[in-house]
Amino acid sequence: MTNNNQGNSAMEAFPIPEGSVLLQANKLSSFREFSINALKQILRERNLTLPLGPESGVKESKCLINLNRFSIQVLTTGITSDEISIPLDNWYKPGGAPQILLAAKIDEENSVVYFSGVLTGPEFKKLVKHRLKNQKEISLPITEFKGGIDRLLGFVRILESTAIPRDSLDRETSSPWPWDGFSKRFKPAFAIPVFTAAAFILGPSIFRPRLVGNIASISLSQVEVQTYTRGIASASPVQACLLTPSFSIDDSRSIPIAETSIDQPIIFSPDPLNEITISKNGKILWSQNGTLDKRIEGLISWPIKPIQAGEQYLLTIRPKGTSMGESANIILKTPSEESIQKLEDLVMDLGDNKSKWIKAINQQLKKDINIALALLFSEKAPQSKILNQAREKVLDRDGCSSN
Amino acid sequence: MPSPYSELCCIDSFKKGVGKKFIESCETFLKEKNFEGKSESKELDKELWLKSKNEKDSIESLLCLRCRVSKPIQEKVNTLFFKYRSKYELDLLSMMVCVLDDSGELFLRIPPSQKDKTLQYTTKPFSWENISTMPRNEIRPFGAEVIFTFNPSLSKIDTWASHQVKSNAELKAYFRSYGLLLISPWALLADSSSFRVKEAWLRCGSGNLSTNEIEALHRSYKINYKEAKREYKNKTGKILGWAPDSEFLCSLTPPQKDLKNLELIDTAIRNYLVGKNTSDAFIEIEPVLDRDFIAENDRDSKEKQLELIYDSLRRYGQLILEDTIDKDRSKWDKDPSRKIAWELYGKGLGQREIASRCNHKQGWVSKLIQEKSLAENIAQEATVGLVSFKEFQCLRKDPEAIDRTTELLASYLISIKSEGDLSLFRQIINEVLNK
Repeated sequence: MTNNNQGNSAMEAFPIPEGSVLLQANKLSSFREFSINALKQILRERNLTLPLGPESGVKESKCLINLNRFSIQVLTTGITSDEISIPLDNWYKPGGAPQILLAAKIDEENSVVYFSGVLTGPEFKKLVKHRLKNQKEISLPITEFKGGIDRLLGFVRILESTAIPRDSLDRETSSPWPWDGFSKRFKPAFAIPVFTAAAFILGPSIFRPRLVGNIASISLSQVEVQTYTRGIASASPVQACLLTPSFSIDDSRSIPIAETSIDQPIIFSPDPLNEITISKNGKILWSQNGTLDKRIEGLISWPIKPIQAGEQYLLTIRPKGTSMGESANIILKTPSEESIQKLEDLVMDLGDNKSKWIKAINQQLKKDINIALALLFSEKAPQSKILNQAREKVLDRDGCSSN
Repeated sequence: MPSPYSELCCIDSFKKGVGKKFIESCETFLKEKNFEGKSESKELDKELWLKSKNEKDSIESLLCLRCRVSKPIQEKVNTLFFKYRSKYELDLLSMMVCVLDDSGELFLRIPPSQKDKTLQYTTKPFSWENISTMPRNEIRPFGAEVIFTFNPSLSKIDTWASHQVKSNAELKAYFRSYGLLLISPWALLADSSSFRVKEAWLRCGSGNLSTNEIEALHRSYKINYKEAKREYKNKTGKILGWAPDSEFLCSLTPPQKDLKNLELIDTAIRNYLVGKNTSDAFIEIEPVLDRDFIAENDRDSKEKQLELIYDSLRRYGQLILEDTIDKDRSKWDKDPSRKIAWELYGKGLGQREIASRCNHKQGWVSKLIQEKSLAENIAQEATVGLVSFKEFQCLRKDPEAIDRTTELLASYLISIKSEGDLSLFRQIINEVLNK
C-alpha cells in the first residue's frame, strides 16, 4: 500500500459511454426495468419491429426475455462496475439455457443505461468452463461482453434462431460438457466466402500491414549535449537523441520537455549511452552506467514506480563519446492531471487479441508515440510476426551519432 | 479577517460569478458565544450543528453553518470545473447556480403542501425546526440540505459537502447534459468488484487498514448496501440521497464508527480509475488486419459479392447519415458552427482541428459527429441487408462471421487508401451535405 495523497487527480466524474441510452423516466425502477426500457427505446429509435416478450420479463429478474425468437438473459450492474454477476438457474435446465447474455450497465441516479455487449451461450460456457462448482451464480469481468447493443441486434436480426444452441451447463465441475463436440459444430465454416469477398474488396486499402511502415516514420527527438567541461574549440556539438520518450524543444526553455501520457514509458536511445539517470526534485532515483567495454544499449523498461498524474522527473542521458560533465537533460512530465494512462490497464483491455494489439499500437503511433512503443514492447503482448517485425524496426533505428 | 462562519460564498449576479458576503448577524452571534476569531474546526462545526438542532427556533447558529459549508461547496464545484473544462464545455456559473444558491436569507419559503388548497408559499424563519417540516428533496438552499443531512459523528463537514455536491440532482443533470456522470461514493463502492478494490488499495490507498481488512469491509458493504438501498427507496420513494447512517456502519464487518474508511476506499478507487476510462480510444476501428488472415482468403473471385458489399455500404450509409444530418440541421440556424463542423469533417479534417476552427472543445465535436457508432451502425445495417442475397445466406448460421463482417465493413467505411484521400464515410457525408 502506498501512502500518497492523490486527491487532486481522482476520478470525479465519469464520461458517459458512447451509445448509452438516456432515459426520460425518473420514477423508481429496478435495474431490470431500466435495461428493458432502454432496449425498447433503442428498438423504437431504430424503427425495428422485433417481437420482444414476455411482458412479465420486464419485472422478473430471473425471467429470460425473447427477442425475435432468441432467448436472452439480461444481466445488470452499476454503470461504473467492472464485473457482472450471472445467475445460473436457467443454465442448469436441460435445453433451456439462454442463447445470448446481454450485459447492461445502469446509472439509476442519472437514468443512463449502457449495453456493454453480449456473449453467446457457447462463448459463456467456454469462459466459465473451469470455474463451475455447483454455484448459483458466477461473476465475469464486464469486458468479456463485446460489441454493445449492435452485436445483439445483429445476431437477432441475421442469425437463424437455431444458430446458437441452448445447451445447458452440467452442475458438476468435473463432468465433461458437450462443449468440445459443440465447438466443432460451431466453427465458422460458413464465414470464408464472406471474408474472401470482404478481404478482396477491402484488401488493397485495408489489409495493408502498415505498422512497420508507421514505426519507420517515427522521428527521433534530438537535443544538444550541454558541455560544462569542454573548451570552446571543441568539435561540433554532440547530439543526444531518444526515440521514446519523445520530447520537444521550446526556445524559451533551456530543457526540452517530454510529455508522457503513459505511466510506464520505455526509454530508448538508438545510440549507445555512457550513463542514464532519473531524478526527481534533485534526488537521483535510478541510474545506470555503461563501461568502456559495455555501453548501455537497447531499450529500458521504466525502472521505477509508475508515474502518477502531475509528477515531474528529470531524465539525464550521456551518449557514448561524451565525458563526465557532459549530458543532456530532458524533463519528463504528464501532460495534464486527467490524462495519465496505466500501462497495465491498457494491456488488460487488449487481452491476447493480436489484431486488437496491432490496431491499438497503430492508432497510438498517430496520437502518442510513447504509448505505442510501451505497448509494442510490453511483455504481455501476444506473439505476432507483425509485432516482431515492428520491434526489429525500432531496435534497428539509426541514432543521431550516425548522421 | 472575517470568520468562515460569517462569510457566505454566494452568486454575485452583477459580477456573474461567485462573491463573498459578510453576514454581520453571524459575527455578532459568534462574538456573543465567544467563538469570535476562531478558525474552522471540527469541534466548532459540531457545536454549531448541535446548537442549530437543539435550539430549534434559533436561526443564527444555522446561518453560521450555512456560511461555513458554502466554501467547501464552492471549492468542490471549482475542482469539478477545472478538472473537466478542457474537454467539456462546462460553464462554471451554471454549475455554481445548481448548488451555491444560498444568499443568506433569514426566512424560508415553504412550498404549499398537497393538502393546501391556497397553493401559496408560506414564509417562516430559517430555523432547523422549519427545515425539518419540509420534504427532504425540497430543502433549499442546497447548503441547508448539506447541514440537515450532516452527522458530525460520522464525517467532516467539508467531506460531507463534497459528497452532497456529487449527489445533487441539478448538478448531476447538468453534467449528464454534457456527457459526464457524477457518481456518489456509495454507488461507486457498491459497483466495484473486490478485485478493483484490492488493486486500488494496493496502488493508491492511504490509511492504516491492511488490504485484507479493506477487502472484508468492502465485501460486507456490498452485501448490506443492496438491502439498505432497497429499504431507502421503499421508504422515501427516491433513488437519490441514500448515505450510510450509524446503523448501517455498525452492520459492517468490522463495524465502523464513522465514514472515514469508506471514504478512503472511495478515494483510492477514484485515483485508481484515473486514465482507465480513457482507454476507450482503443475501441476505435483501425484498418489493420494481420497477414495470417489475408493468407487464408482467396482473392481470385467473387466479383458479384464485392459489388453487393460496396452497394450495401453506400445505400445504408446514405440512409443513416442523411437521417443523422437532417436531425442536426434544425439546430444550424441557432448554432452555425454545427454545420461548419460537418463540412470540415467532410473535407477530411480531424477532431482537434475542427474543434479549433469552430471555437469549441474536442468533446463537442465528438458528441456531434459520432464517427465510430455511426460507422458501426451503417456496417450492421449493411450486413443485415447483405443477408437477403443468396451469396451471403451463410451468415445466418455463424455469429462469428457476423462479428467479423461488421467489423470489416466498419473499418472500410472510415479507412483511406492513401494520404489525402477521403474515406467512404466522409464522401457520403459530403454527398448528403451537398444535396
